[in-house]
Amino acid sequence: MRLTELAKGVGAIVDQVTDLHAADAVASRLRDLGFVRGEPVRVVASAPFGGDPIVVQIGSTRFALRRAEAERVTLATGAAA
Amino acid sequence: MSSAALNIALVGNPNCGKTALFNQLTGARQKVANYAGVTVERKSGAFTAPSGRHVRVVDLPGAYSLQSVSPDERVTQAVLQGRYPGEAVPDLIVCVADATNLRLHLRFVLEVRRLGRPMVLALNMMDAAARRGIRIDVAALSQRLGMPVIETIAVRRGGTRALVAAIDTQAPVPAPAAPELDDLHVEVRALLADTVVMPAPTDRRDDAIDRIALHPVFGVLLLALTMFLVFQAVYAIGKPMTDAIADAFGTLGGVVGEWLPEGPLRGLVTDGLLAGLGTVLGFLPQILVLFFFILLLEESGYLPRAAFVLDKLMVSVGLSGRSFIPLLSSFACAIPGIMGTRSITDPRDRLATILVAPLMTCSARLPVYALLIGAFIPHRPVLGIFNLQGLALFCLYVAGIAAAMFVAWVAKRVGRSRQERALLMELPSYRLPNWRDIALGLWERGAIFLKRLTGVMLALTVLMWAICTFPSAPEGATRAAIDYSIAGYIGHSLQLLFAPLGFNWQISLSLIPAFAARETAVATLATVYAVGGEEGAALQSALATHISLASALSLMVWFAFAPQCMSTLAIIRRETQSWRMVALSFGYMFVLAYAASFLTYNIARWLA
Amino acid sequence: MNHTLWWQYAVIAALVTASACYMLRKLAPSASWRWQARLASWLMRRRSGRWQALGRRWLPPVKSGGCGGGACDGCGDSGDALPPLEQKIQFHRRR
Repeated sequence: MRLTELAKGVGAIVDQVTDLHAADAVASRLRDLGFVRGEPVRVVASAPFGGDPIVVQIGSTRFALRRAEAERVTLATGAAA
Repeated sequence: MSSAALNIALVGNPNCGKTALFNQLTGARQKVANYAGVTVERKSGAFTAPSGRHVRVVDLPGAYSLQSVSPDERVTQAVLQGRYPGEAVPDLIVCVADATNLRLHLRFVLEVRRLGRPMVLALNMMDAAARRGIRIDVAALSQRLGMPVIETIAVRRGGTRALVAAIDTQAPVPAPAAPELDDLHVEVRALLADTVVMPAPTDRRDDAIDRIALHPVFGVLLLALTMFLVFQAVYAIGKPMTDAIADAFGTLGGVVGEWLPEGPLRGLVTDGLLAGLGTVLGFLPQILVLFFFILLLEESGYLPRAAFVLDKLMVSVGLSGRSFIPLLSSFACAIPGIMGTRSITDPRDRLATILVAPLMTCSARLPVYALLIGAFIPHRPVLGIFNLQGLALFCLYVAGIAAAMFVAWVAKRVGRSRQERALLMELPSYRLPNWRDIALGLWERGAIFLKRLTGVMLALTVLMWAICTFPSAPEGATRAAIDYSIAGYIGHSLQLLFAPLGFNWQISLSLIPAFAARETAVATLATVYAVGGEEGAALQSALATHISLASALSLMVWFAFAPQCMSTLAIIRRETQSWRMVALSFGYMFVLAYAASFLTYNIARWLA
Repeated sequence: MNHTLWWQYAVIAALVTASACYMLRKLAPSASWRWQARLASWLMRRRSGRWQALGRRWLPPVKSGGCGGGACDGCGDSGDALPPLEQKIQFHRRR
């Protein structure tokens, strides 16, 4: 499941961040910011009409992300926190 | 006496409070420049440690990582390693981390540790950590990291004393231990598990406020309400001070007038300098009040929430989410805003933002608005506690923003390119503003204003006065003396162009110096009316008697959409490397302003 | 023109000239620098050492200062040449 499909308020665990293209700087920055395996993540808010952008909480930080950026994050299946 | 000066560098993630720490260490002794060869800001300062040792501090740009993706990070890494040409090697690195968010900040600390240079960790925002019940075993952390760890509260007086003592008394700090593990995140988790107790990952206060601030409907309402209240405050607080300054200058003018000998020099001083510059100076309180609230919003951490809420709207008119900051910066002055568009990768988006940025009412137009509103909008309460003048100011600003949205939307129809619109924005914890930093910010704003006043505005006022006074009226003159001067000639000629908008010749004339600095329109109007014979009367009452409400409204609308100052045009030329863009920017705004003013004037006249 | 007030007119003329020069420098900085360079090099070619020293001092620096080519009165900062990866909200750069 991708981060973009996560419902608001539901907790999940990050599985990995996939590069969208070669030398994906956004993906590598996401990893630096804490989107790594095993990290709890939660969607805090999402913009109306399509949910772009969304606000996620990773660890103890909140980030506003576009769908395209959040799309890179895959979540561990069957996890709930 | 002490040994040689110590060079220290401050590093940290964004939002770790590094700036407040830097301000507290160096006070007002700061210098901002650029690193040689790049357009990265270099902040430096100095302080004297208790032992008498001179300490030079460099505040490096906030960075999430040393991965060298952006020029900020490249510079930070190079300076820390002592590789940056022209930069002294820092003897000590002070890494600043937010104690309430070590999960994010510690990773950077570990990355900096890998550089193998002497460093010290400053755990900042310890007051917020204590409030949230976060307990950190500082000794254990220090031992695991292999470096001194000091608690700081940058926003509190004396909150950096321990840090200064640590910097001061350290014998050369040993370079920290080699990293334990390869994966920084795994190492961070291990460290946190052993040394930090965190009851909850988020602050309950943040959660509660964000439930409203990030709400799709209430968030927008909150933003609109905030802006509305800010403009109310500008009038409620600023106006009495403005009136007081105006009275003071009136009295001063009278006194000086009697003290100086007869002749043209007296005219220059009373009508030109005191009337002209004094009137503009009178609006400084309102500018400062506006900036006070803007700084307050910035310090509180609310602005990223506003960016989130507005993002949908921005994208729908064809502006990228990254346009928010350049456009917001334009409220102070369009120039940094236009330069800030460099962060927009898509060239079409960038051009759209550059063309639209000047519509955001810059602080230089505030004296013009304040003057006209003060003269024509009655001081009446609305719904009991709000005032009508504040409402008028709010409407003018909103008009600028609405025009910007409209123009961006039009630009969007013209060309479209599909490019990734990055956002990736941290929403930091809300925090109480630091009054000292706000005071510093206001001081700097006031200094900029005074510099303009004694520079461009002074020069223009002298020139305007000169052309208003010479040549003097010939023998047997029938009209007022000023009509025969150069100013009269130019003004009457220009009026042919602006008559449909309801501008009289004095207003038409004042539009010329307004090209160099928008506020000068106020100074010029004051000078023109003073030379023209309005003895002792304040400009506001002079305007009230000489121009109609419809003309005033038309002039306000003109300034809301008017072609911007020369400096902005120069920057557009420099940033776009094209005269066509400058012509386009000037041209479309002239047409927009002319049309809007024409409509306003005629509708207002028809309604009256 | 009242001739006993000649000194007042002199002061005014000086102020007006100074203001005009100031505005010219602000509005057309590159042209002003060129003129200044021309004047300075003319001075440096004079025989007397004093004029030469004055000419040397007047030579404009190689780099032009200020963000708007000197036209702006210094409200703020210079942006970055490349885009940063994340948004940092800061209303204005502090000096």
